[in-house]
Amino acid sequence: MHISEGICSPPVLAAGMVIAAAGVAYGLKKIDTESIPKVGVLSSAFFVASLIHIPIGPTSVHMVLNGLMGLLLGWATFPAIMIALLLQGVLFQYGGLTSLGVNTVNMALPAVICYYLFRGMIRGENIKKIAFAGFACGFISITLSIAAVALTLLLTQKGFLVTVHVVVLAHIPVMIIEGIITAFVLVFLKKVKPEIIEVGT
Amino acid sequence: MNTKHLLKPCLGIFLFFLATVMVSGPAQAHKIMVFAYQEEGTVYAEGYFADGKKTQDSLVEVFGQDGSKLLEGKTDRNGLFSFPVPDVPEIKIVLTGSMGHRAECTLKNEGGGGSAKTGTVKEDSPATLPQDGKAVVGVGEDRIRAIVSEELDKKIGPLIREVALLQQKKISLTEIIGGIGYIAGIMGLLMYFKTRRKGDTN
Repeated sequence: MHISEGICSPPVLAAGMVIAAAGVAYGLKKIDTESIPKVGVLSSAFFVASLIHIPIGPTSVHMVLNGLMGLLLGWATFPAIMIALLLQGVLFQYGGLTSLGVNTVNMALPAVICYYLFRGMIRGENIKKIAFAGFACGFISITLSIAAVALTLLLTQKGFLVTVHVVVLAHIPVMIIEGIITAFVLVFLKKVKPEIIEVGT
Repeated sequence: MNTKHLLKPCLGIFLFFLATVMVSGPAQAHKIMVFAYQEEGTVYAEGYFADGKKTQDSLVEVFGQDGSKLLEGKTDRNGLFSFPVPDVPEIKIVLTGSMGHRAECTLKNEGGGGSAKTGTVKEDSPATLPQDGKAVVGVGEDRIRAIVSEELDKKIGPLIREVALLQQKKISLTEIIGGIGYIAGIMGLLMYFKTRRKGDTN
Protein backbone atom coordinates (compact mmCIF):
# COMPACT_ATOMS: atom_id res chain seq x y z
CA MET A 1 0.00 0.00 0.00
CA HIS A 2 2.90 2.33 0.59
CA ILE A 3 4.24 3.69 -2.65
CA SER A 4 7.98 4.06 -2.42
CA GLU A 5 10.08 6.99 -3.33
CA GLY A 6 11.07 7.32 -6.96
CA ILE A 7 8.05 5.50 -8.35
CA CYS A 8 5.62 8.27 -9.18
CA SER A 9 6.21 11.08 -11.61
CA PRO A 10 6.54 14.63 -10.21
CA PRO A 11 3.06 15.77 -11.33
CA VAL A 12 1.44 12.83 -9.55
CA LEU A 13 3.48 13.51 -6.41
CA ALA A 14 2.59 17.20 -6.51
CA ALA A 15 -1.11 16.50 -7.00
CA GLY A 16 -0.99 14.07 -4.08
CA MET A 17 0.66 16.66 -1.84
CA VAL A 18 -1.88 19.34 -2.72
CA ILE A 19 -4.91 17.11 -2.12
CA ALA A 20 -3.39 15.72 1.07
CA ALA A 21 -2.62 19.23 2.36
CA ALA A 22 -6.17 20.34 1.68
CA GLY A 23 -7.58 17.24 3.38
CA VAL A 24 -5.32 17.64 6.40
CA ALA A 25 -6.17 21.33 6.75
CA TYR A 26 -9.90 20.61 6.57
CA GLY A 27 -9.51 17.66 8.94
CA LEU A 28 -7.63 19.75 11.49
CA LYS A 29 -10.34 22.37 11.35
CA LYS A 30 -12.97 19.70 11.98
CA ILE A 31 -11.28 18.21 15.02
CA ASP A 32 -12.67 19.47 18.28
CA THR A 33 -10.76 19.21 21.53
CA GLU A 34 -12.79 16.28 22.82
CA SER A 35 -12.08 14.09 19.82
CA ILE A 36 -8.30 14.58 19.81
CA PRO A 37 -7.60 11.50 21.96
CA LYS A 38 -9.70 9.45 19.57
CA VAL A 39 -7.67 10.72 16.64
CA GLY A 40 -4.49 9.81 18.49
CA VAL A 41 -5.63 6.31 19.34
CA LEU A 42 -6.74 5.55 15.79
CA SER A 43 -3.61 7.08 14.35
CA SER A 44 -1.59 4.74 16.58
CA ALA A 45 -3.75 1.82 15.54
CA PHE A 46 -3.07 2.58 11.89
CA PHE A 47 0.62 3.00 12.64
CA VAL A 48 0.81 -0.45 14.21
CA ALA A 49 -1.66 -2.21 11.91
CA SER A 50 0.70 -1.84 8.98
CA LEU A 51 3.16 -4.07 10.80
CA ILE A 52 0.75 -7.00 10.90
CA HIS A 53 1.48 -8.46 7.63
CA ILE A 54 0.18 -11.45 5.77
CA PRO A 55 2.09 -13.21 2.99
CA ILE A 56 -0.26 -14.19 0.17
CA GLY A 57 0.85 -15.69 -3.13
CA PRO A 58 3.54 -13.70 -4.84
CA THR A 59 3.10 -10.60 -2.73
CA SER A 60 2.47 -9.74 0.88
CA VAL A 61 -0.11 -7.47 2.35
CA HIS A 62 -0.92 -5.80 5.62
CA MET A 63 -3.84 -4.35 7.52
CA VAL A 64 -4.80 -0.74 6.92
CA LEU A 65 -7.91 -0.16 9.03
CA ASN A 66 -8.78 2.95 7.09
CA GLY A 67 -12.47 2.02 6.97
CA LEU A 68 -12.65 2.03 10.74
CA MET A 69 -10.76 5.31 10.91
CA GLY A 70 -13.07 6.91 8.38
CA LEU A 71 -16.20 5.88 10.25
CA LEU A 72 -14.94 7.05 13.61
CA LEU A 73 -13.02 10.15 12.56
CA GLY A 74 -14.59 11.52 9.41
CA TRP A 75 -12.35 14.16 7.90
CA ALA A 76 -9.92 13.89 10.81
CA THR A 77 -8.75 10.68 9.11
CA PHE A 78 -6.52 12.82 6.90
CA PRO A 79 -4.29 14.24 9.67
CA ALA A 80 -4.39 10.92 11.56
CA ILE A 81 -3.17 8.94 8.56
CA MET A 82 -0.64 11.57 7.53
CA ILE A 83 1.00 11.57 10.97
CA ALA A 84 1.15 7.77 11.09
CA LEU A 85 2.53 7.58 7.54
CA LEU A 86 5.15 10.21 8.29
CA LEU A 87 6.35 8.24 11.30
CA GLN A 88 6.30 4.98 9.35
CA GLY A 89 8.38 6.65 6.68
CA VAL A 90 10.89 8.11 9.09
CA LEU A 91 11.19 5.11 11.40
CA PHE A 92 10.67 2.13 9.10
CA GLN A 93 11.30 3.50 5.61
CA TYR A 94 7.79 2.53 4.55
CA GLY A 95 6.81 4.58 1.57
CA GLY A 96 8.79 7.77 1.47
CA LEU A 97 8.73 11.45 2.25
CA THR A 98 8.11 12.60 -1.31
CA SER A 99 5.30 10.10 -1.74
CA LEU A 100 3.75 11.00 1.62
CA GLY A 101 1.05 13.10 -0.04
CA VAL A 102 0.08 10.44 -2.55
CA ASN A 103 -0.02 7.73 0.11
CA THR A 104 -2.08 9.88 2.46
CA VAL A 105 -4.66 10.57 -0.24
CA ASN A 106 -4.77 6.94 -1.34
CA MET A 107 -5.64 5.76 2.15
CA ALA A 108 -7.53 8.69 3.66
CA LEU A 109 -9.78 9.66 0.78
CA PRO A 110 -11.50 6.24 0.56
CA ALA A 111 -11.96 6.42 4.33
CA VAL A 112 -13.73 9.77 4.04
CA ILE A 113 -15.87 8.49 1.18
CA CYS A 114 -16.89 5.50 3.32
CA TYR A 115 -17.63 7.85 6.19
CA TYR A 116 -20.25 9.59 4.08
CA LEU A 117 -21.59 6.28 2.73
CA PHE A 118 -22.03 4.52 6.05
CA ARG A 119 -22.28 7.08 8.82
CA GLY A 120 -26.06 7.01 8.66
CA MET A 121 -26.16 3.24 9.14
CA ILE A 122 -24.23 3.14 12.38
CA ARG A 123 -26.33 5.70 14.20
CA GLY A 124 -29.21 3.37 15.01
CA GLU A 125 -29.58 0.76 17.72
CA ASN A 126 -29.71 -2.22 15.38
CA ILE A 127 -26.54 -4.19 16.10
CA LYS A 128 -26.85 -6.33 12.98
CA LYS A 129 -27.09 -3.25 10.84
CA ILE A 130 -24.02 -1.77 12.50
CA ALA A 131 -22.08 -4.97 12.00
CA PHE A 132 -23.05 -5.02 8.34
CA ALA A 133 -22.10 -1.37 7.91
CA GLY A 134 -18.76 -2.04 9.59
CA PHE A 135 -18.01 -4.97 7.33
CA ALA A 136 -18.99 -3.11 4.20
CA CYS A 137 -17.06 -0.05 5.28
CA GLY A 138 -13.85 -1.96 6.01
CA PHE A 139 -14.20 -3.96 2.82
CA ILE A 140 -15.02 -1.06 0.52
CA SER A 141 -12.53 1.44 1.87
CA ILE A 142 -9.57 -0.88 1.40
CA THR A 143 -10.87 -1.86 -2.03
CA LEU A 144 -11.02 1.80 -2.98
CA SER A 145 -7.53 2.30 -1.57
CA ILE A 146 -6.18 -0.51 -3.72
CA ALA A 147 -7.93 0.96 -6.73
CA ALA A 148 -6.42 4.34 -5.89
CA VAL A 149 -2.93 2.90 -5.62
CA ALA A 150 -3.40 1.06 -8.89
CA LEU A 151 -4.62 4.24 -10.55
CA THR A 152 -1.66 6.20 -9.21
CA LEU A 153 0.71 3.62 -10.60
CA LEU A 154 -1.07 3.58 -13.95
CA LEU A 155 -0.81 7.36 -14.18
CA THR A 156 2.92 7.03 -13.83
CA GLN A 157 3.76 3.98 -15.81
CA LYS A 158 1.66 1.79 -18.05
CA GLY A 159 3.73 -1.30 -17.32
CA PHE A 160 2.16 -1.72 -13.91
CA LEU A 161 -1.11 -2.83 -15.46
CA VAL A 162 0.18 -6.39 -15.52
CA THR A 163 0.69 -6.52 -11.78
CA VAL A 164 -2.55 -4.78 -10.87
CA HIS A 165 -4.82 -7.80 -11.14
CA VAL A 166 -2.40 -9.94 -9.13
CA VAL A 167 -2.38 -7.31 -6.44
CA VAL A 168 -6.14 -6.96 -6.35
CA LEU A 169 -6.55 -10.74 -6.08
CA ALA A 170 -3.94 -10.86 -3.34
CA HIS A 171 -5.84 -8.29 -1.34
CA ILE A 172 -9.16 -10.12 -1.30
CA PRO A 173 -8.34 -11.86 2.00
CA VAL A 174 -7.31 -8.53 3.46
CA MET A 175 -10.56 -6.94 2.35
CA ILE A 176 -12.46 -9.67 4.18
CA ILE A 177 -10.29 -9.44 7.29
CA GLU A 178 -10.59 -5.66 7.34
CA GLY A 179 -14.34 -5.97 7.02
CA ILE A 180 -14.60 -8.45 9.88
CA ILE A 181 -12.36 -6.44 12.19
CA THR A 182 -14.12 -3.18 11.42
CA ALA A 183 -17.50 -4.80 12.07
CA PHE A 184 -16.27 -6.36 15.29
CA VAL A 185 -14.75 -3.15 16.64
CA LEU A 186 -17.86 -1.16 15.79
CA VAL A 187 -20.21 -3.60 17.50
CA PHE A 188 -17.92 -3.69 20.49
CA LEU A 189 -17.77 0.10 20.71
CA LYS A 190 -21.53 0.33 20.30
CA LYS A 191 -22.01 -1.90 23.33
CA VAL A 192 -19.28 -0.45 25.51
CA LYS A 193 -18.89 3.17 24.55
CA PRO A 194 -21.56 4.21 22.05
CA GLU A 195 -20.64 7.90 22.21
CA ILE A 196 -17.39 7.18 20.33
CA ILE A 197 -19.34 6.19 17.27
CA GLU A 198 -21.22 9.45 17.14
CA VAL A 199 -18.94 11.56 15.03
CA GLY A 200 -19.19 15.18 15.99
CA THR A 201 -20.23 16.75 12.75
CA MET B 1 -22.05 -5.65 34.11
CA ASN B 2 -22.23 -5.56 30.38
CA THR B 3 -18.82 -3.91 30.19
CA LYS B 4 -17.23 -6.49 32.42
CA HIS B 5 -18.63 -9.23 30.27
CA LEU B 6 -16.96 -7.73 27.22
CA LEU B 7 -13.66 -6.93 28.86
CA LYS B 8 -12.24 -10.40 28.45
CA PRO B 9 -12.70 -10.79 24.70
CA CYS B 10 -11.42 -7.26 24.25
CA LEU B 11 -8.30 -8.02 26.23
CA GLY B 12 -7.91 -11.26 24.33
CA ILE B 13 -8.00 -9.52 21.00
CA PHE B 14 -5.60 -6.86 22.17
CA LEU B 15 -3.17 -9.52 23.35
CA PHE B 16 -3.54 -11.40 20.10
CA PHE B 17 -2.64 -8.30 18.15
CA LEU B 18 0.23 -7.53 20.43
CA ALA B 19 1.51 -11.09 20.11
CA THR B 20 1.23 -10.93 16.34
CA VAL B 21 3.24 -7.75 16.29
CA MET B 22 5.79 -9.08 18.75
CA VAL B 23 6.30 -12.35 16.94
CA SER B 24 6.25 -11.17 13.40
CA GLY B 25 6.40 -7.43 13.58
CA PRO B 26 10.04 -6.66 14.29
CA ALA B 27 11.20 -8.65 11.31
CA GLN B 28 8.60 -7.36 8.93
CA ALA B 29 8.09 -4.23 7.04
CA HIS B 30 5.94 -3.78 4.08
CA LYS B 31 8.73 -2.90 1.78
CA ILE B 32 11.05 -4.77 -0.49
CA MET B 33 14.79 -5.06 -0.57
CA VAL B 34 17.15 -6.09 -3.27
CA PHE B 35 20.50 -7.59 -2.67
CA ALA B 36 23.12 -8.48 -5.24
CA TYR B 37 26.33 -10.43 -5.23
CA GLN B 38 28.82 -11.50 -7.78
CA GLU B 39 29.97 -15.04 -8.19
CA GLU B 40 32.03 -16.59 -10.96
CA GLY B 41 31.23 -14.05 -13.60
CA THR B 42 27.55 -13.90 -12.84
CA VAL B 43 25.69 -11.29 -10.88
CA TYR B 44 22.86 -12.62 -8.76
CA ALA B 45 20.19 -10.21 -7.64
CA GLU B 46 17.72 -11.36 -5.03
CA GLY B 47 14.54 -9.56 -4.08
CA TYR B 48 12.93 -9.93 -0.69
CA PHE B 49 10.00 -8.61 1.17
CA ALA B 50 11.30 -7.48 4.50
CA ASP B 51 9.98 -10.61 6.18
CA GLY B 52 12.21 -12.71 3.97
CA LYS B 53 9.56 -13.79 1.50
CA LYS B 54 10.97 -13.70 -2.02
CA THR B 55 9.59 -11.27 -4.52
CA GLN B 56 8.56 -13.48 -7.40
CA ASP B 57 8.16 -12.29 -10.93
CA SER B 58 9.24 -8.73 -10.22
CA LEU B 59 10.95 -6.41 -12.64
CA VAL B 60 14.70 -6.01 -12.23
CA GLU B 61 16.51 -3.30 -14.12
CA VAL B 62 20.25 -2.89 -14.29
CA PHE B 63 21.77 0.52 -14.89
CA GLY B 64 25.33 1.57 -15.56
CA GLN B 65 27.13 4.37 -13.75
CA ASP B 66 25.91 6.95 -16.23
CA GLY B 67 22.31 5.95 -15.68
CA SER B 68 21.86 4.10 -18.93
CA LYS B 69 19.90 0.89 -18.74
CA LEU B 70 22.07 -2.12 -19.45
CA LEU B 71 19.52 -4.88 -19.20
CA GLU B 72 16.33 -5.92 -17.48
CA GLY B 73 14.57 -9.07 -16.50
CA LYS B 74 12.26 -10.66 -14.01
CA THR B 75 12.93 -12.55 -10.83
CA ASP B 76 12.10 -16.23 -10.84
CA ARG B 77 10.17 -18.27 -8.29
CA ASN B 78 13.01 -17.92 -5.81
CA GLY B 79 13.18 -14.15 -6.20
CA LEU B 80 16.43 -14.56 -8.07
CA PHE B 81 17.60 -12.86 -11.23
CA SER B 82 21.04 -13.53 -12.65
CA PHE B 83 22.99 -12.09 -15.53
CA PRO B 84 26.64 -12.11 -16.65
CA VAL B 85 28.84 -9.43 -15.12
CA PRO B 86 28.61 -6.38 -17.38
CA ASP B 87 31.81 -4.67 -18.42
CA VAL B 88 31.38 -1.55 -16.30
CA PRO B 89 32.96 -0.59 -12.98
CA GLU B 90 29.69 -0.17 -11.12
CA ILE B 91 26.09 -1.18 -11.68
CA LYS B 92 22.89 -0.10 -10.04
CA ILE B 93 20.17 -2.71 -9.65
CA VAL B 94 16.61 -1.51 -9.26
CA LEU B 95 13.84 -3.85 -8.22
CA THR B 96 10.26 -2.79 -8.76
CA GLY B 97 7.65 -4.82 -6.96
CA SER B 98 3.91 -4.76 -7.14
CA MET B 99 1.94 -1.87 -5.63
CA GLY B 100 4.69 0.66 -6.07
CA HIS B 101 7.37 -0.94 -3.98
CA ARG B 102 10.86 -0.26 -5.12
CA ALA B 103 14.34 -1.02 -3.91
CA GLU B 104 17.77 -0.52 -5.32
CA CYS B 105 21.35 -1.43 -4.61
CA THR B 106 24.69 -0.82 -6.22
CA LEU B 107 27.33 -3.38 -6.91
CA LYS B 108 30.97 -2.67 -7.64
CA ASN B 109 32.60 -4.84 -10.23
CA GLU B 110 35.27 -6.55 -8.20
CA GLY B 111 38.55 -6.64 -10.12
CA GLY B 112 36.99 -6.14 -13.52
CA GLY B 113 35.36 -9.54 -13.59
CA GLY B 114 38.56 -11.24 -12.46
CA SER B 115 36.71 -13.94 -10.65
CA ALA B 116 34.90 -14.65 -13.86
CA LYS B 117 37.94 -16.38 -15.17
CA THR B 118 38.27 -18.69 -12.21
CA GLY B 119 36.99 -21.69 -14.01
CA THR B 120 39.13 -21.24 -17.12
CA VAL B 121 42.61 -20.97 -15.64
CA LYS B 122 45.05 -22.87 -17.76
CA GLU B 123 45.64 -26.42 -16.73
CA ASP B 124 49.29 -26.49 -17.75
CA SER B 125 50.86 -26.22 -14.32
CA PRO B 126 50.53 -29.56 -12.49
CA ALA B 127 53.53 -31.20 -14.08
CA THR B 128 55.98 -28.32 -14.01
CA LEU B 129 58.09 -29.15 -10.96
CA PRO B 130 58.58 -32.87 -10.81
CA GLN B 131 62.12 -32.81 -9.29
CA ASP B 132 60.81 -33.48 -5.79
CA GLY B 133 59.19 -36.71 -6.78
CA LYS B 134 56.20 -36.31 -4.44
CA ALA B 135 54.60 -33.86 -6.87
CA VAL B 136 52.49 -32.23 -4.19
CA VAL B 137 54.33 -28.96 -4.63
CA GLY B 138 54.05 -29.26 -8.34
CA VAL B 139 51.11 -26.93 -8.75
CA GLY B 140 51.48 -23.59 -10.43
CA GLU B 141 50.82 -20.38 -8.59
CA ASP B 142 47.93 -19.54 -10.91
CA ARG B 143 46.28 -22.83 -10.26
CA ILE B 144 46.56 -22.47 -6.49
CA ARG B 145 45.17 -18.97 -6.69
CA ALA B 146 42.28 -20.21 -8.76
CA ILE B 147 41.48 -23.07 -6.40
CA VAL B 148 41.74 -20.86 -3.33
CA SER B 149 39.51 -18.21 -4.79
CA GLU B 150 37.02 -20.82 -5.89
CA GLU B 151 36.90 -22.35 -2.45
CA LEU B 152 36.69 -18.96 -0.82
CA ASP B 153 33.76 -18.05 -3.04
CA LYS B 154 32.03 -21.22 -1.98
CA LYS B 155 32.70 -20.67 1.70
CA ILE B 156 32.11 -16.95 1.81
CA GLY B 157 29.06 -16.84 -0.42
CA PRO B 158 26.53 -17.70 2.29
CA LEU B 159 28.36 -15.44 4.73
CA ILE B 160 28.09 -12.48 2.41
CA ARG B 161 24.39 -13.08 2.13
CA GLU B 162 24.07 -13.32 5.89
CA VAL B 163 25.91 -10.04 6.34
CA ALA B 164 23.75 -8.34 3.76
CA LEU B 165 20.64 -9.58 5.51
CA LEU B 166 21.95 -8.36 8.84
CA GLN B 167 22.63 -4.97 7.37
CA GLN B 168 19.01 -4.62 6.37
CA LYS B 169 17.23 -2.47 8.86
CA LYS B 170 14.79 -4.41 10.95
CA ILE B 171 11.96 -2.88 12.85
CA SER B 172 12.43 -3.05 16.58
CA LEU B 173 9.81 -2.87 19.28
CA THR B 174 11.52 0.27 20.55
CA GLU B 175 10.76 2.03 17.29
CA ILE B 176 7.14 0.92 17.33
CA ILE B 177 6.64 2.17 20.85
CA GLY B 178 8.59 5.31 20.00
CA GLY B 179 6.29 5.93 17.07
CA ILE B 180 3.20 5.56 19.23
CA GLY B 181 4.80 7.93 21.69
CA TYR B 182 5.33 10.48 18.95
CA ILE B 183 1.69 10.23 17.97
CA ALA B 184 0.65 10.79 21.57
CA GLY B 185 2.95 13.79 21.74
CA ILE B 186 1.65 15.29 18.51
CA MET B 187 -1.92 14.86 19.74
CA GLY B 188 -0.94 16.59 22.97
CA LEU B 189 0.47 19.51 21.00
CA LEU B 190 -2.66 19.65 18.88
CA MET B 191 -4.79 19.73 21.99
CA TYR B 192 -2.62 22.46 23.47
CA PHE B 193 -3.04 24.70 20.45
CA LYS B 194 -6.73 23.95 20.11
CA THR B 195 -7.50 24.79 23.73
CA ARG B 196 -5.31 27.89 23.68
CA ARG B 197 -7.06 29.22 20.63
CA LYS B 198 -10.39 28.59 22.27
CA GLY B 199 -9.18 30.47 25.32
CA ASP B 200 -8.13 33.43 23.17
CA THR B 201 -11.49 33.85 21.55
CA ASN B 202 -13.31 33.68 24.86
